[in-house]
Amino acid sequence: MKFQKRFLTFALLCVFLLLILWGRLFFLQVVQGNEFKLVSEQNRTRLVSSPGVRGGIYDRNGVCLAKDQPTYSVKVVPDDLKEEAIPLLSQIISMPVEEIQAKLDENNLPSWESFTLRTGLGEDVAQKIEEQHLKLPGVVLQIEPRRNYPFGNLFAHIIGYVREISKEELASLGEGGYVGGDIIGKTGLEKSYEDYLRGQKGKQVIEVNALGQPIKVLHELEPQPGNDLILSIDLKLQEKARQILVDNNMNGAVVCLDPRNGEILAMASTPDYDPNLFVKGISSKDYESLLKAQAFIPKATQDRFPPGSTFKVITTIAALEERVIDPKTYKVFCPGYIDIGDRRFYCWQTSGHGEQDLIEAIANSCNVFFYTLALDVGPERLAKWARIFNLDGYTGVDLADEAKGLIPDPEWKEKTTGEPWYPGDTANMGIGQGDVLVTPLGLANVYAAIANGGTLYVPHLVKEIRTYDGLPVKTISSVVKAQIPLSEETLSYLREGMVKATDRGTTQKIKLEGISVAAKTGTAQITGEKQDIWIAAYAPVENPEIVVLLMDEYSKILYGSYLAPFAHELLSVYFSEKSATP
Amino acid sequence: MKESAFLKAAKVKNLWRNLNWSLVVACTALILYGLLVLYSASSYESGRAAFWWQLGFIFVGIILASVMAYVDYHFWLKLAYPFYFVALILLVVVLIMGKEVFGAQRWLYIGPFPLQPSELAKIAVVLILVKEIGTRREKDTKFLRFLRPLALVLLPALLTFEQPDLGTSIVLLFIFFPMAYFGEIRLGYVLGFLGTILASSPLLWRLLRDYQRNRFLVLFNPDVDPLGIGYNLRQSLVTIGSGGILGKGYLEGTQKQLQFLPVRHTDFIFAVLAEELGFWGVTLLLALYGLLIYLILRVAQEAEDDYGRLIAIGMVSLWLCHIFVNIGMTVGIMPVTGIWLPFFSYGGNNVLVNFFAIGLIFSVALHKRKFLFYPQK
Repeated sequence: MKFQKRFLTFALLCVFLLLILWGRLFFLQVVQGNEFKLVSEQNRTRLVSSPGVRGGIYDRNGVCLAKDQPTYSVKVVPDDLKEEAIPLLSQIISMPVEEIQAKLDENNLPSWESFTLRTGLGEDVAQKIEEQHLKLPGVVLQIEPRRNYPFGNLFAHIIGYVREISKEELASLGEGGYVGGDIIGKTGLEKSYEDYLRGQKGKQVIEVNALGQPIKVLHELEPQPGNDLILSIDLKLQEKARQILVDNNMNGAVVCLDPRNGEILAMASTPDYDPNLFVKGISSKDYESLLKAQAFIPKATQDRFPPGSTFKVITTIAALEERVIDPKTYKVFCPGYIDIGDRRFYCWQTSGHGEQDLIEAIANSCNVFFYTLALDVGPERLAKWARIFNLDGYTGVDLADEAKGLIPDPEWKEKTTGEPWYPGDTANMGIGQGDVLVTPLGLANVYAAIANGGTLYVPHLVKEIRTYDGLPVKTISSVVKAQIPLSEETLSYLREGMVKATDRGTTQKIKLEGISVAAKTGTAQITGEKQDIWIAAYAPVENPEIVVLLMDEYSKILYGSYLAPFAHELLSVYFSEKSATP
Repeated sequence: MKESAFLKAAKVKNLWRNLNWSLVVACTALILYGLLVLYSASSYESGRAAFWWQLGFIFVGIILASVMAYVDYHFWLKLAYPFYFVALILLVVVLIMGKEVFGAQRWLYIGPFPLQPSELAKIAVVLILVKEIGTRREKDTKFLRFLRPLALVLLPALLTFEQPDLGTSIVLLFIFFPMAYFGEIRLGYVLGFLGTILASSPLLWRLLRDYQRNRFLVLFNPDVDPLGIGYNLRQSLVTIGSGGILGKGYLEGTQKQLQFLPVRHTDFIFAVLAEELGFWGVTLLLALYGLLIYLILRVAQEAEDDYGRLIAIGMVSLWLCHIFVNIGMTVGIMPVTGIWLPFFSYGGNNVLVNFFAIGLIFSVALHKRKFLFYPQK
């Protein structure tokens, strides 16, 4: 046959390969079989892993905001654990027998590898286990780092918290070297910088005796601590920000930004929670009540609100940049209301402002002026400029989750409600009401861009990443999201209007000695008696270094201008701290 | 070529007579043996889930193989090109967006079903080689007859190497040699290519990632990576060796040494067999594999044409390579790669690949026109 020789050659190759395997197996199982059997029976090596310390988080002046601290944890090797020892163990670590059993059952590690039963135990429990160790074979005590947030609630919405990895996370991240019982960042910076903060686990192959107690370390890989984060946050300013919210019973947000680079100097939202609760293990009752209070939603970044009159800067910019009006001659008479279609729209000052030019209107926050201006500009151009300032996009802040605002236009309204856009919608939009929604951080970022002359930065919390022993890993430089072309004329009208605003009524209380401040307030009606109130300010006007924004949701306070004293306090803290440290 | 209705009917009637019963028995024996061992290997897992899933895969596989066998293999060869291109595209897609599994991107999700494009590539490469090598074009120079199939193998081999899935690249390259040999491609070229690979091995060595190098180095020095692959290999050897001549008994394996491996019911299932059933069990398995290879080579000998012969040779090479690389890695003579053991390893993708191969081989055995005119002796 034609291929006879080839078939023979190929068959010989097959036989040859199978014989190599067979020969090797003969050697392993027949020649060395007894030796291996002995090794197998005496095989008392264990693979033990030890956690790597998670990196710390520090404020811009080096104050520690989050850190791993040593605590004790109890690990068990299922192979060595005696059934009758479980009740004793249960008593010492105060964990019900059923729970121990359940943890043993759902453990996904090999039964000869130790796994974590309970973490965060104190010295006293550790001592008891040491005393009883003869009765507790297979129980291993380990010093384990545990997350500690020394400032509790203060940084809840920035730093977030860590917790034991969930089954879902394990399924999606398990191949990244995570195993059950590992600690992982769940929210905030702990989550977004997980890969930097996380320490590398150490491993040891150890020889154990018949009781499962270690005799000798055969091989060892040292654990590696994670990297430290240095934030742009200033502790003093952050403390003041939260204190204002808490002392005045506000459900609101404070954002302080450096308009020169997008660094976040302070950012607080209330209600908040103590992240230490999660590390220790939060009770479901506590969790439920915090959930109900919406304490887990950072208002500054993950919620959105109608901006009210703070939006008038966008209306002004749209009118001036699109050359809709001549600001020198454009004047509107405010009798306290205006009729649009068959509806009457009121000014906040129902007695009226009289004749207003642009600067007066910004300073007085005259609604009638801005209704009229918005109608002249039109909804498309208002939406266009709000979008140029990224008010309907994500700011890109380095937090794990972020919400984005909503900027309506006729097309959007048609699509979502099926109704046409009315002139009244344009008027409402011009004063930041109707369907306009923004995140506090997104709005603060708009004021930062106005303060610095048109540069829209990506706001960020982390300035620098360093190794545990201080070597630089990464310096986060400021990222420009957009360079917005604003004419000097536009900027000077805004500046003048907002400086003048600090001469009016309650807003005067924002003023600082020797430092000029520009401010805009906002009040968005929600229901009859409650409103979302805002103040946005920057200083010094000539060379802005800080933008401050305060917001209170469903406030009982009537007007945004009543927030001026609080903005003043924040600015004072910033400038007094600056003069204290040259 | 169009067949008359009579010829078609006559062929169908002959299918049963042509059915290769000894091959059916050999395959069945291997499948049952595989299930037996998988049952034991999956015992520490959640309720032997792997075993029941595998049973389901095999059920689907039998249907697939029956359809494959019933239809003339010339029809399946028509799909060789589209199949090949789909496989290539999926390999590129998995490179770009694949899910990270053990540091390599190998999986794509089709709904809830994980698909491994590299498994698809193995079949696609066999089919495309059958088509390319089996079709003799008069214009082709001898060199072109060598170069074209080689290029068709190298492309997916490089893509899988990049994943990185070293095992599949090795399998794809391996398949090329027997098929080229039986396809009467000039031997000088084929040996020249083999020589080139060997000569450029220092270069290839530098292309490997650190952990891949460790998997080679550990074969010569057990102290390499003592907390990782070195530890695993040591435990694998202890497990197999401790099985001894008679084994520890079915379901009696302590398996402690195996539990360090999350893949013991897939890639390291041979170690379970060796521990529980010992040297005799291992010998039985190798004998069954030998029988299977012999029977498929008989199918190749009796095949109607070049295409049929090359299909049988291609599939048998695929299995031979898998057997050698998989068992070789558990006994410490081959580097550790994610290569399954035919009929034994757990997994939907590999079961379907195996049954696809069985189906095609049976199709070659069944659709032999000559028996219509020359009755069997």
